[in-house]
Amino acid sequence: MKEYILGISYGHHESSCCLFSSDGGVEYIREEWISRVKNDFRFPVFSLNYLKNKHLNLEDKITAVCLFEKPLKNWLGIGTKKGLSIDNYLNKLKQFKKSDIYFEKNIKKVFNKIPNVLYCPHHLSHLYTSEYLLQNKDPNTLNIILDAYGDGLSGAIYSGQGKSIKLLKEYKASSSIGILYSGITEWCGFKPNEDEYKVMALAGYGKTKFADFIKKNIIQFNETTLDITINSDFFNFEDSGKGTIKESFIEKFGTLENNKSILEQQKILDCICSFQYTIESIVISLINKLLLVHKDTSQVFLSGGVFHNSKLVGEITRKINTKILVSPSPGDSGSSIGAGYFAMLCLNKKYSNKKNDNPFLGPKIPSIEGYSHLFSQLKVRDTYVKILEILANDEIFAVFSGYSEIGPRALLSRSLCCNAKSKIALERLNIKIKKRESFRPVAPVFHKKYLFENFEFNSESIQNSYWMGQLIWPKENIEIKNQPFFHIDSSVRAQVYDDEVDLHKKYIPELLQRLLIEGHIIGNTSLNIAGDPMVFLPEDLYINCKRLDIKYILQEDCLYEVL
Amino acid sequence: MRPSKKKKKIELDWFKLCFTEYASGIEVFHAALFFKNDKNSQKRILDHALDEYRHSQYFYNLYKEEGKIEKISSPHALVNYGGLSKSPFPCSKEKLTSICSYLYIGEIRAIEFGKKVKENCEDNNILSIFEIIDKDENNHAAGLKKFLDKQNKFSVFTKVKLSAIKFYFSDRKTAKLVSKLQHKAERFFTRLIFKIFPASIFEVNSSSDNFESVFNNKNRMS
Repeated sequence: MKEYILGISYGHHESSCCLFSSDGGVEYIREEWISRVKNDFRFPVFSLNYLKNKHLNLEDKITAVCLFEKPLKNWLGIGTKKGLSIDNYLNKLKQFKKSDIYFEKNIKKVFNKIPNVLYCPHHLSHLYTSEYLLQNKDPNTLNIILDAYGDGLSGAIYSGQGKSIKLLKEYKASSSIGILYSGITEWCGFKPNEDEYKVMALAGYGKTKFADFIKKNIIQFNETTLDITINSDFFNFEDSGKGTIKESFIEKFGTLENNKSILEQQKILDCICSFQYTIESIVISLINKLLLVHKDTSQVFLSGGVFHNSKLVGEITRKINTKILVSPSPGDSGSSIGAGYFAMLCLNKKYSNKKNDNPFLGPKIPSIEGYSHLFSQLKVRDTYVKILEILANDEIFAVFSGYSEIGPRALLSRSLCCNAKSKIALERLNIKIKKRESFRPVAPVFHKKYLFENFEFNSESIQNSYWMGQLIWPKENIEIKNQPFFHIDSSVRAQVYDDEVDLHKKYIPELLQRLLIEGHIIGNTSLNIAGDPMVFLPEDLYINCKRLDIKYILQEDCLYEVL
Repeated sequence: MRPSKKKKKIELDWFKLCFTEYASGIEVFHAALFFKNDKNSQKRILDHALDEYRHSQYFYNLYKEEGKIEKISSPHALVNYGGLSKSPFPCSKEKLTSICSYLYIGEIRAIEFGKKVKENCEDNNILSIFEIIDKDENNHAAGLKKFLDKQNKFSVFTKVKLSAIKFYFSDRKTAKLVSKLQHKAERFFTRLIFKIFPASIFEVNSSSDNFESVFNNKNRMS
């Protein structure tokens, strides 16, 4: 009989579930895809119902359910010490009522019987997510986990893999680079825990003017103890009743002027750039130091929300010549995978991964053929020629094909595409259709050959670019910087297509593969309205195409029109 | 001749309205998924959801015009301001009549709110927006009524009344004095909890040094 293990993550942001079955099947679902609430943090009841409807008698076959953190440890870990504001304590009690401490109770609302409930430490969930997704089995692996907060900590360093892991270092919440970055995000007028990628994009517009000040007065790294110390005069991490940014910070860096565009406020941009630079240099120093001590290290796995920052990963991989990999979903939303994997290790279950190392562990995208009331198939002689025509006319088409991507980035399964060499098409896609800020560039997808010819990169870490995990920079003296897909600082967050890699051959629509092999560069962004979850069902596709005014949809090798 | 009534200024929370409409869009979308076998109805319901998203955009634009910055993250805003915390979804298809009754009452409330705004608001831009919304909401209410009329009349009657009662209680504001007392008591007891218990009660000493230590602790929440 088939058996299942279920990993679950929720409570902070981006709830998700991952179901592992004894026949090697894996199915990852993000709650927001079904609930349609972006970054849905609630107990993933929509996802669990989806799985229950899909897998017959699921509750009878589940061996274990594993949560991605220790809920009590997590709740106790921050904001409980004496002397904090009354609002902080009130928040704590409210959080308790809504927290994942009630995990078992919630599970019982969905499933009638649950055999075994396990709790995986938060940072190990991250570690095991990387191990499962990156697949490179090697006992000489170094795992660096940095995030905002989980189980009272903000990071950890482990050596080894599987059951042979050893803790090397833990970082307390007061050293949280993640909360620091969220604080800066809020200071810039964006939403914390959501809009950090906007701050990262803005870093390219600034100068590192304040980097020395920050290193001297705000964030210090001790090369001997590997401690990261963040000055509590500038940031507040403990008291949720008060803001993250303190008065001393405002005195030094000022505040955002609401009546002016952020791009016109150079001091703010310089501050962002300086913090980004300082964080990069600290993490690079940390990895270098670790590699010096652990000379046998063959690869470094990066995980935790901090490594969503593709500029940080890009700088690390170009400055350190070791295999350094980040998983396609390094944040909390991916942790359900690690939690499930942890349960497998605990119960000595070896469910092989049929799908192998890929970021397409989501459900198969449903066919829209039966939705004749919403879409009609375009009658064209040659779909490829029609696509070329769409690209040449600077028009946009949607891709809804293959399997759902697990990470935050669209990888040509649920994407909006255009000709990346055309400034008009990119601007149309970015600003008019997606209504994104002009400072956020659209990511291109190109063939590996184009990467080798034009870019400098750490070839051992090329895998990160399969899922846009890192920025890359062009070689000196290469005249491609005028291409419209480059960011202001000449970096590109590209998706690299490799026709020798099975995962690409299997999961990217053949027609798009042909375009890439023939040297086209495709502008690629997620198939959703900015700030909304990615499209999941054909009904979502209809709603989104209507709202975005998208006419064409590519599924497998067919083109459809929205009615 | 009677003097014309003077218009009062009405306080409109665009942020809240934006998320309320958006949440309605989500709920209508979920309802549309029950109509997979009735293609025409599904399309009509999806178009209804599109209207709700469009209304949300109107309110968002008005909010932005005031030069304000969102300080609350969108999932929290949708759940708390938008009302998704009280949403009946996810649910099974058997509850379709309840769902449609709930959506119907929502539309009726939106129409009544629109009337109030039109009576009290002076801004032509806002009035023209509410004119469009009013037309849409009336269409939606008529569509839902048509569906409900085909169902068991007694069942619909009770479900509509039940939804109206639920909305009535969720709208009710606690008397000022009671809420003030509640607030004070809450603060007092919270302070007490964190003051009288020794800090050590909040300390956790479990270790994650290696797999063995984690394995031995695998069923614990701390």
